Amino acid sequence: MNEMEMREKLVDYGKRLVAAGLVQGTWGNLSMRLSEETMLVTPSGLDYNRLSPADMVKVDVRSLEHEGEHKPTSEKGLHAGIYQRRPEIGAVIHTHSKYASVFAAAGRSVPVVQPELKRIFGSQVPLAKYGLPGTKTLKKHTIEALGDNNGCIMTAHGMICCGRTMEEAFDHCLKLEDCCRQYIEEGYERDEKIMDIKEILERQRSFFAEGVTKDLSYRRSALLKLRNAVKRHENEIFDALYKDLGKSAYEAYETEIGLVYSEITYMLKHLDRLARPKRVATPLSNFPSKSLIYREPYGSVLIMSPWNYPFQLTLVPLAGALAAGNCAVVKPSAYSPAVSHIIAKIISETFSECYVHTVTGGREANQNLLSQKFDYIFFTGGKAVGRQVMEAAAKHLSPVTLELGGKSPCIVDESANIPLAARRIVWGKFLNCGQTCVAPDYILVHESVKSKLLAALVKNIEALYGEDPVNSKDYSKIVNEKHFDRLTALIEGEDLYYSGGIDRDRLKMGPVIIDEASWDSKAMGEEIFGPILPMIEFDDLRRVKKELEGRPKPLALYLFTRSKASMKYVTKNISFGGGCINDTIMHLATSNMPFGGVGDSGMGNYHGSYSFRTFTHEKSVLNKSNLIDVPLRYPPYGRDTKWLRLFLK
Amino acid sequence: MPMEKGSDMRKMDNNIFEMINKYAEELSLMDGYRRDVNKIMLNLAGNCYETADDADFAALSQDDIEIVSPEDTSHFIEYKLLQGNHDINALVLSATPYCRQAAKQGRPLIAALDDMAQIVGYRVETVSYDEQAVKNALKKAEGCFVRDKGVTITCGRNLYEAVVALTILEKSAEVNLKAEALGGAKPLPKIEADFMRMIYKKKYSKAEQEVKSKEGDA
Repeated sequence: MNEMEMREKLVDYGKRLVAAGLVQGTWGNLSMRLSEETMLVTPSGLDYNRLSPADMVKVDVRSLEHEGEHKPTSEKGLHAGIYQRRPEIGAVIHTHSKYASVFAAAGRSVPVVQPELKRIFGSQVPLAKYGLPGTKTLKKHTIEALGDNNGCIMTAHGMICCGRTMEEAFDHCLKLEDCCRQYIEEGYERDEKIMDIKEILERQRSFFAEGVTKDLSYRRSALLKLRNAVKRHENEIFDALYKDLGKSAYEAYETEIGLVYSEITYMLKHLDRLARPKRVATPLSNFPSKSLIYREPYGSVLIMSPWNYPFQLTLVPLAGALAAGNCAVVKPSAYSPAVSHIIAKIISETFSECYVHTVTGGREANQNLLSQKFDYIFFTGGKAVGRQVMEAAAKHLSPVTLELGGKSPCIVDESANIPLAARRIVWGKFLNCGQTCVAPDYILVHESVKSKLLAALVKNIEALYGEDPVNSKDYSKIVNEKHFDRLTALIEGEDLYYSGGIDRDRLKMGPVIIDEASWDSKAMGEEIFGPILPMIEFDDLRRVKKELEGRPKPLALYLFTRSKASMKYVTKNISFGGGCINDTIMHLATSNMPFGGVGDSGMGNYHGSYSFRTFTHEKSVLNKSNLIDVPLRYPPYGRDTKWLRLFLK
Repeated sequence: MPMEKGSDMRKMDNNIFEMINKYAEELSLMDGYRRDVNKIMLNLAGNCYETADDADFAALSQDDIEIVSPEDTSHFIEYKLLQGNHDINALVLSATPYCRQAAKQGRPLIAALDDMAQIVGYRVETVSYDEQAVKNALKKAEGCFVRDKGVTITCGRNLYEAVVALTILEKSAEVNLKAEALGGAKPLPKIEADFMRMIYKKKYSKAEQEVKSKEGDA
């Protein structure tokens, strides 16, 4: 091809770029290699539709000197650099096309999933770091990022593509723009689309490998976006919680949305401190050196949440995972479909699936997820599924946190403030219709105060929910028929001290008190997870300890007493996940204490800084000086261990 | 007031008409073009030209362009902007979809791409339809969103610049919105954005200026 033909081709392809919507106005530029030393480039600041072959500028690729009436594009150095580094390249096109610009604005490389595009760009279209237009920095970053690829995204700028011929370079531009478009458009539809979890994880791994999530400003911005998105959808969340669980707006804010805000606020406030490397003392044996603990995110974490507090039990751990710099896949429960839907909506609107993705569905979806290798698994739910999670995690050696449940006792001794105890027990037990993992499962009451407590409980049920609790607007419902039937079976044939009514059609079960329960009662055989409150009397706290010792360790324990000796005895001698003295449930409404189980009630913990630690690997690094090398540890070993004993004792 | 039709005037009028018509056609092809909103206002040789309310930009006629005075313009605030700032000779009023969405959010649109930083400016404000507020917003950038009218105003030293500013602003609003799905657009450092804008205004747009200035002496 002679020079004139090349000039004509540049004019032609400039117009094609405009027609294809890849450039606007005078933006972007294109070039062709004329010889080993020269190239033809488009002039600076001229409209493509006005260009003529004579307007093209001949530029020396080494000196960047040019001939002709017009000045060459300000990016001539970039074009020349590519020709110098890549002898096989015959044409280069730089555009500010829309979809590539989205990636450029977000500072993101482009994951490539289509096999035909992988052949052109590999699995990732690289991202060049930012440089001011027309500068050597921009040229250096772009050439470095481009490497041997056929295209790359230029941060805050656009894209650049190259090819052996102008036809090929143009085709690469079209394909890269289409690749970006597909990725973004798919993103908008991903709510509706069941994406292959393998593909999602692959994308999350690539994204995590870019290191973007390690940047504290990125994490902060993600948390702010999450908070804003929750705010934006608050009314829909209220509606969904009412639909799935009959939660009133007040209770929904108190036990779900408010806790999410509070956790995000904690993370935003303490992120710098939590993420900072920590310097610790170095033992003498390592002199001279310094010891640092670096906080490193795991990678892609899986958060599986249950249906009883479906919103906060998904988003509170998510806040911790994001604050720690991880990518996440969240799997809300299929039993709370309305909340799962709004969670998926919030997440898909707020984050790319290569950062946070929601998987909805039932058992099959769980199994599918658990067959994948995640870098951490955070599970909240029942023991049976908890075991499956741990088994699946073991196959990949993935670390886990299991937030399980169990029968949480509530001990009321003879010194307790009965009216207040009854009020707090009623609130804690019947909140969310008893479907709370840390709800008092049963009461152990001292025989001397039993009748007084029973009367106070009924008085408080009526004070909080009225004489007809099943019709109270503040009283929730049972999640589904299966659970409703399980609960009714637990009270069949039992003498009920109090029943607040039952309405199966509306899945409403009022508070139930069984005053003559024993350790062998049906309701004592499993975690109740409903509004049934069995009561067992005791005469000596030491016998309570003995009974509890023989049973699985509970997630929570509550003690109502005024006796300091009782407080000390219970906290010192009985093992449980966490709990309260003279209250119920409120120990988890804080970001300053860890929340989690022990033994059968789970492992690991979270909330506040503990969430951050849960989702963080603490990487120990000893930085040793090169100045001195104490020879003590090297062979040949002497017989005298005197010095060794001095360092290691 | 319709244009005068003297023979010498006619020639100049034709040039001006051709130029306005060319950009009007371009605007009519943009998404969100609305006859009841889109308007071109131009300050040329001491006259203020304005497309008539409800003019069809896809089929503009000479009768659709009026020379207006403060008394008979329907857009007094914009008229005053044209008269009071020698850097603003052209204004385009529009209601393109992504700019409208950006305006709805009520937050300023911050440049995350070089082209917006250079051509429009670092920060595009959402303001109420108030002379001082619009004036202040256009001091910082070549465009602003008018919250209470759902309108975007872009400006320039000539009509070309005002139209290009709208094109880039609409693209930037779309890019910023779509980038939300990728974790959000990252704003450019302000100092670098301001530096780029200064260079663009002084040097880079010279070539464009030369060409555009030939268009109807604009």
